[in-house]
Amino acid sequence: MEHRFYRLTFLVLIAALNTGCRSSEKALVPPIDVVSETSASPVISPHFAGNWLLDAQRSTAIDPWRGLSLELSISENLLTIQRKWRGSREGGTTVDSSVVQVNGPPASAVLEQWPDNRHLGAYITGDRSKTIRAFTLDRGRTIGTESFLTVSVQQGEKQLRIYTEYRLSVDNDRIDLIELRSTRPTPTHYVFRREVSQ
Amino acid sequence: MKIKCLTLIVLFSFLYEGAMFAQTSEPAGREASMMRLSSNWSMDGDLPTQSLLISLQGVANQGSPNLYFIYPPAWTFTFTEAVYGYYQDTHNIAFTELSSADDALSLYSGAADGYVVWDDSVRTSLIIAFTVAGLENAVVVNEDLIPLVESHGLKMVDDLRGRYRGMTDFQIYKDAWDRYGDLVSKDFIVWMGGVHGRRMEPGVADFGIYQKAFFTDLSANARDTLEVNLADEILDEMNDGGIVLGWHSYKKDTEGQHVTLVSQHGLRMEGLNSLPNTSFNIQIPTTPGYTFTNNHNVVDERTYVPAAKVYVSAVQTDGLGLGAWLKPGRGKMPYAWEVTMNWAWMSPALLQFFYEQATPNDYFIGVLSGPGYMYPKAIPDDKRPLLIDEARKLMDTLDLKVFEIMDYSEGTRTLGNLDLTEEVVDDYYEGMPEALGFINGYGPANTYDLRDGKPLISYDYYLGERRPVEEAVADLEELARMNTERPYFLLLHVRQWSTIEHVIGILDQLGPEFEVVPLDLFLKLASEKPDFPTRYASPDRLPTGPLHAR
Repeated sequence: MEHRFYRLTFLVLIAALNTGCRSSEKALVPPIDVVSETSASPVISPHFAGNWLLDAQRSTAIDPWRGLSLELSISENLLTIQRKWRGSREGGTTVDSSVVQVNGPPASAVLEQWPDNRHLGAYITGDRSKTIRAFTLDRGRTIGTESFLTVSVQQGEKQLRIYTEYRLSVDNDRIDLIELRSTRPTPTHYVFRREVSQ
Repeated sequence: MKIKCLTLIVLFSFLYEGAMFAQTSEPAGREASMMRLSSNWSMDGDLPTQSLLISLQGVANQGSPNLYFIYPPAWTFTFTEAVYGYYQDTHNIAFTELSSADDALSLYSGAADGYVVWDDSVRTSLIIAFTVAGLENAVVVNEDLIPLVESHGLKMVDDLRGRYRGMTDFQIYKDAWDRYGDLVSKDFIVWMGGVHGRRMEPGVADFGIYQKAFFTDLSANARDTLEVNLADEILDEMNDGGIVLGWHSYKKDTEGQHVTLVSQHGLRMEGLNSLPNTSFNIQIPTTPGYTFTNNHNVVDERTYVPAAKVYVSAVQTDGLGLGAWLKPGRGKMPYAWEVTMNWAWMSPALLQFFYEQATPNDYFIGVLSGPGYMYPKAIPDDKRPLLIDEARKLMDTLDLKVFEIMDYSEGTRTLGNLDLTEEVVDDYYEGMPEALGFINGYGPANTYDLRDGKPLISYDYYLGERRPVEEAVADLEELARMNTERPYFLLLHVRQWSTIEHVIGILDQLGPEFEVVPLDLFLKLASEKPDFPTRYASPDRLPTGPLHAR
């Protein structure tokens, strides 16, 4: 039942963020289809599986990275999430990968680095890992995750809590990734389109 | 045989000290020529003529400053038009404008001993032609321009047409080094990189020709084994403290790879390939009695007590002459500017131009890791103290109290380790005892120190020119949440393409807890109540950056 707590927390946070917007601004986060969610399903929609490419025009800026892709695979209730951050001005790629049992216990994932915001003086530290748990929402059409990791900042070490939802669109060709970080005042919103094989 | 002559370090000390103190009266009147260059740098467009002109400049300015160019508005260095006016107003130089290469040759062809022909079908042959131009006191032309230079009485001294067809860059440069390596300067070398393909922006070629330098754009990318090894061999022949002018090729390698290679030889980079008019500027001293004076904000006798605030200080990246200096907004907020310190002797009056324009909110700092652009972790341990000492002398001449260090020899902020080792930090503290403090990074880093009231603080934020305002505001607020103690000292590195208006637009959205202060005051306040534990390069930060030369 823990996922309901996360869901509620997320809703409160989104509501608070949107309430905090100036009246002239658009809401920071798309409205949630609250009606559809009353209970979780252990089954993830199979349409999540595959490779997804960032739609940069509709997403929060990822600079200095030049590209971000998402690969999701599902086997039984084992979920693999792989985010590939590609090419800064100086080149290079880094992959942020997690394997976690859906609606199961937290898993640990080793990180090469914390790639999410490379403008900040915050680098992965400690055992260079994050703990992550995953759960389903919206009858399997939303995957929620909560993860914890520690970064090295100017004043020492800081633990980050990151709540993420991967929402599958009605026609299964788009994922909205919405993320709340415990330290960031605004959510991050990435839009992914299904990669079309050539 | 490799001949190590008097080190540049000593030579340059005399040069700039001479420039500072030799004058005791108003500047003597001079006459010179000015010409406007076009914005077309294509091999199929104006590059042949512009290359001819720039090589003529290198030849015509031998002995006295005769030919000055105003570069187009979009040129990387933005000051040539403004400095043209400044030279007239304050340095008593009367310019006559030239309107064509024909005009320029009419006046200055007599200074040249001939011309060298490069091959239109081999771009690299133009780079080799610049080397020949310096050695032969010649101008460079393609086939189409031969009638023009011959109409001014010039004879061919070398012909590269056909010589390099079908050869790789490694083969071309190997041939050129075998031919000219014993003849060229060992104090200067030019990396004629930057843009590639059918374009070239050889603004620094006049100075390379003036110095009889070897020109190349060899790769420092480890995957280009032959080119890297040849570059290594050539740089090994340079004299201690030698200068690598120009820039790396955007096609072949990265800035980090190139400057790492240069630093591994104890040499110093002086960018860019587009640096204009240096054969002219090096001969224009500061006005009589002028001394460089910075806008210091810290008073020795005063006690500084930081409040429970987030103190922010902004530094523009990449040196004077690039970016925001001449754009609107300068002076509206405290801003630190990276002084290209070698201009103290390479372009003293140009540096005077910047110092005289400074508002009370403009604060100059010394850069970048040494007397030029270098990566201290890559510099051999035995060479680093001497280079730091040379940087200290330049700091003293230029009234600079804060020194900036940067090291991309182990990758970048996205994939790498920008932190400094304790041994490197020791060398700066020992070699620059007069410094008020040090700053480190380009992107954010995590090296911190405090010794004898002098802090070393790393950048905590990099503001790219394309970062949306709302994201930048959220970034800074996030840093203030990640660093919860107050005071918090948030050092901000601003990409030079960002205007100060843009930066103000971001900082104005932050709450009253944030306060923007000048960099020297920022460091002084940080020394009174440091919010950082001492830290150096750590095994926690893996050097996972892109491949480097070694």
